[in-house]
Amino acid sequence: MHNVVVLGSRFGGSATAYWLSKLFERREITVTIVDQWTLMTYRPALVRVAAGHPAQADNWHIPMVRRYQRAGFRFIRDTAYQIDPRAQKIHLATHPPLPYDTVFVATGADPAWEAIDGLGPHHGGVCEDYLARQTAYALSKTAGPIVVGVGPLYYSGSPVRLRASLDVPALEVAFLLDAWLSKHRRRQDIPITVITPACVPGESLGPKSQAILTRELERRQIQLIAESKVEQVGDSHITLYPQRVIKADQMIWIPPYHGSQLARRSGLDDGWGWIPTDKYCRHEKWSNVYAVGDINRSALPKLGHIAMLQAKVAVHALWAAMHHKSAQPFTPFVLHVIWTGHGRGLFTLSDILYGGKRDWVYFGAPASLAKTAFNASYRFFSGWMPIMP
Amino acid sequence: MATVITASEGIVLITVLSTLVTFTVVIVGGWWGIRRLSRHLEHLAGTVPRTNLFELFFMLKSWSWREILLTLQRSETGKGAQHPMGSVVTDTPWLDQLAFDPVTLDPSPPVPKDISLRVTIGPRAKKPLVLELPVLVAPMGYGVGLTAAAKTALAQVAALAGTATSSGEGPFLPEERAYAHKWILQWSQGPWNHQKEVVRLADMVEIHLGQGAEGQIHISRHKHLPRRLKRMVQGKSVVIRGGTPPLPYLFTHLKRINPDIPIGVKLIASNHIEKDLQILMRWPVDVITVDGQEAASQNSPAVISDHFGIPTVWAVIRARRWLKRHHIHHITLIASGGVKGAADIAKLIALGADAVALGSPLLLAVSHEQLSKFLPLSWHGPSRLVFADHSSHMAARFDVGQAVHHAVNWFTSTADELRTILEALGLDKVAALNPGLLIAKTENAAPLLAVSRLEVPFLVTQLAGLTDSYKELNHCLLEQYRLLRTQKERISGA
Repeated sequence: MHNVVVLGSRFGGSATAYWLSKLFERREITVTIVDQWTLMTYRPALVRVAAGHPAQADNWHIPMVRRYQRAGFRFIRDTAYQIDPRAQKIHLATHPPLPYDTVFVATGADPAWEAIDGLGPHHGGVCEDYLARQTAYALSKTAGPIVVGVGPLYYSGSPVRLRASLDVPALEVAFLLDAWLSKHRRRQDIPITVITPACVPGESLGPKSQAILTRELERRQIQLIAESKVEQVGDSHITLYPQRVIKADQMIWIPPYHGSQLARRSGLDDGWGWIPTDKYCRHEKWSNVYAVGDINRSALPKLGHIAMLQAKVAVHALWAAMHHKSAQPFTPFVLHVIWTGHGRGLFTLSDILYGGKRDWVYFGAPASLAKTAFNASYRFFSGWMPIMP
Repeated sequence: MATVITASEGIVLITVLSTLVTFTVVIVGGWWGIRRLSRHLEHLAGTVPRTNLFELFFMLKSWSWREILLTLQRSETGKGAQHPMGSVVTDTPWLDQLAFDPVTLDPSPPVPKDISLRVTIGPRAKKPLVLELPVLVAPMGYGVGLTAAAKTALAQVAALAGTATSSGEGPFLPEERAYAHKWILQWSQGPWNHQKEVVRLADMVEIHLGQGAEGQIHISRHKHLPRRLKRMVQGKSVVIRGGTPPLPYLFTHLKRINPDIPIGVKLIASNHIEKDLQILMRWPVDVITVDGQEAASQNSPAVISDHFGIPTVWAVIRARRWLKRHHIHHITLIASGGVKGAADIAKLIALGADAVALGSPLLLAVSHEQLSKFLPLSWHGPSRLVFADHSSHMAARFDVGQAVHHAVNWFTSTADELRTILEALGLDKVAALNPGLLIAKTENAAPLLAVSRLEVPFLVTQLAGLTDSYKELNHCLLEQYRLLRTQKERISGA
């Protein structure tokens, strides 16, 4: 039997497992999933947690192990340290080396907090459950300015040009915070600022969405400092280049991202920590190594939707290779909804970033409802929804 | 002839009967309840007071109500603790016998602007540990000490506080490493083999040579182990070997695997600490942790924890004095054992420590507002929530989010209190604390400062040595004189 290993069990990893269970017969493959957590944290919902709802953090832990076991997959709770593509083995922290015929790497990218002088998780964040929860607790006591910071993205600059690690959730937090503070009649005393290395808000979205976001930021008096370069972060201030100091009573950071240590250690990266792949998400050199989601160089911007798309493409490519069929290549497009608070949302479906012409945008309550419904169904079905994108 | 009972007589009869029944039930129930309670209490009194309410007795022997209430206040508010009614420090732990000398008119205090609490652990290493405050989460092992949930909570707390957490003697817990921004691997002598990969994942490795509460004895556990741990040891007992591991091999091995990170050693605070330090200097040690007599452990035998070792404060003073005397400045000294809050931390740093590791205040903080789930229906103590020696249904009731929130509050308040201390001393960084800023409040504490003030220690110790020799000589001479006199009297009597 063909021995498949999936590293990671978040958006990309769980979608990969889903497609493996859908496309392959049980007698064809054995599947082993390796992850550090037995519970998957559904990160897209954490923006709402950070914006004043700390108790909701635990609602977004999804138990995946039972789902895998029902599908006949084996789950190993461990840390993947290194992939040896020559020996076709994965070195784990506490288990013996794990052999594979095909590996799907979906472990995500590592935050590079240390890339900015003084910056650390203690400054607040939104990308993990504990960061979002603590940010929310801290915000309940905040009486001064709030700064939402976005770190830069360190990568080769290909296949698309992006400057910010991911500015969309930062804007989402800013909007939700504005709404939450207004509801509690504290907004007039607390200025909100968004600092981003991007030139425009929502740089990965299309121009229509960017225009709406710019207008909405102005209307709600959220200051945007674009094209910023952060030099140093202190306990209550941020120093921007050249010599501009921003005071912050509370910060919320989307940290810089610089690829994956796992990819680097395994010699599978492109020199920047990202795994270079072909249009089927297959490693450029090792045809039995697939990269899915944030760790993949072509997964830009780092959105859950892209990870799900890539999981589908990668597993279909393996299935096609094993059954001597042809597979569909990865055709990227951005599909995203930003909650903007007050029951409204901004829906974007665009491929402008990839040189296309499609740019569909809708701003209103149904968009917000659609995102809420998607999140709820993702949690209800533990990531394996009846209709997968 | 049948007796006819009227309605009013019936009511009276029923009332009397029901009163009698109620009285009997109360008496029997009360008697049964008291018997059951006494049996339960008697049984509890004979069990290991690790996770039941009797642990409070031991806690109150080493912690005062003042310290417990102030710790809980910090966990709740996240601000520096306060209390009314004046100073309440009347007991005599070593650190409470010392106080800081506030700056006044002479010397006039500089106005500190940004007070930095940042500290670098193992500065000689290529990748030293930089912490936002000089406080580390003490090593408490998964499975052999704490539950997975408690370890996960502490890892999150460490990341949010800008400090490091340690694996403790237990096996590797993937979640802990994933959450901790800075993670210390404690190299214990447990049955789990720390693979090379685990060493490479660490930001620092600390070789465990024993601890204040346990000495260097072996520890064996076979009951109530978490499932993951049971699988690891294949259902057998967990035995953590005692004695000293082969240090020359270990240093070479660890440096070969991960040459960039600091390598530390955890030492028991002994009365021959200088000799231990001298031996350790043969190897590339970056960090030394001295674990004092006051240190706590989940499994500490009372005969060890209560009757072995020297207090943390003495160990720190003597270790720092030895390092300074030998011009060794690259080694970070971490104090651990019996530390309860910011004042203790600042005093230990003033006496020579670079940072302080603590566990008990954090366990109090993570349990804050969660104990009410148990009381008054059970006899479980607060540690039932976090200690790994109970059935798993209790562990599920531990609210990680609430625990993290309270422990982060504790760290925030401790950082605030450290800044307040530094401000009152006119200092702008924690590394500027020194023994000259301390005053002894009791005669007992005076030698602490005499030894730690490095201008006089040599003279003081020489004088003390001379006095002791003189006393001994005098005693011998008096004894000989008495013997001679006795013999003379006998001879003259004969």
